[in-house]
Amino acid sequence: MTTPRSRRSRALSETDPAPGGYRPYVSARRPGERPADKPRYRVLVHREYLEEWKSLPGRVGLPNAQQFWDHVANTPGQPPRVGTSTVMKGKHNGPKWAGYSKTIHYEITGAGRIDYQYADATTEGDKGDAHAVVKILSIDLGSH
Amino acid sequence: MDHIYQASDLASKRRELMDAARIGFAQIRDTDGTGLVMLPQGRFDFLRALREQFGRFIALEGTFERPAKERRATDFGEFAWLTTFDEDDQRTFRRELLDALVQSLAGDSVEPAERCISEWRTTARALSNEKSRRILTGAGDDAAFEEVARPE
Repeated sequence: MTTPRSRRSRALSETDPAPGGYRPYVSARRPGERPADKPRYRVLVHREYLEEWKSLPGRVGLPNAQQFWDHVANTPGQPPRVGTSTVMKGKHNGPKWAGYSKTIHYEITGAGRIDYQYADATTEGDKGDAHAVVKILSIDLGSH
Repeated sequence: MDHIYQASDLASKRRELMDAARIGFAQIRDTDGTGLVMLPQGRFDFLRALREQFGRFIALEGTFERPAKERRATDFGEFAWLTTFDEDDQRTFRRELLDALVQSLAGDSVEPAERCISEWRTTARALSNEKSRRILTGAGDDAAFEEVARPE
């Protein structure tokens, strides 16, 4: 028994129409980027900076706080699309745990600085499975 | 040999003189014999900024001539924030800044030198806060972290 195909699936199976052609049953793609997938990195904050973390949306604005989180949760080792990041200078910039990066300074334009290290695969934690982690070491929302 | 225009050429050979300046520089001899140079604004800005950077670097060199224990924050001038770092890191900064200045000269841009200073200043700011300094310079503490969710 064959299942009747919807007009949309028939339309989708057809080859691309000529430029300018109109396929009425094929919906357009969502504009912009895809919604965020599950973040690759777990994000941890030093307990001494939890209050600063909680106040982050109020201090820098929710979009900036989310932008920072999206950056570190997905691409902590790449230059951010918004704000700037630099590797910490001096002899204390090295990894604090095996497999971690050097300390990164992330500057939220005109609003503050967040310092973190990240690991692509660490087995820290109760489960012992390899996972990617970002550890936020310090947050400064007052010196900018 | 470079052509030297006369003051009167500013009127009679204005276009030629301007074109010469646009592709490099144009030398003009004023009526009293004073030599003047016309050059693109960007080039002038670069030379002026580079002069300032080298001036600061030379002052820093003078500071490093003094024994570390005798250096005061004021001796570092515009680099006073360097006192946040110890002697080793200060010397690392000096070496990196010299490299950056060489790059600036080679690339006709002060951006490498400015970037070097900016990056070190950012770390100096981070280390100037007592709590931040303790955590950033201390050993990693596994139990000190808590997982957080995306701000909503």
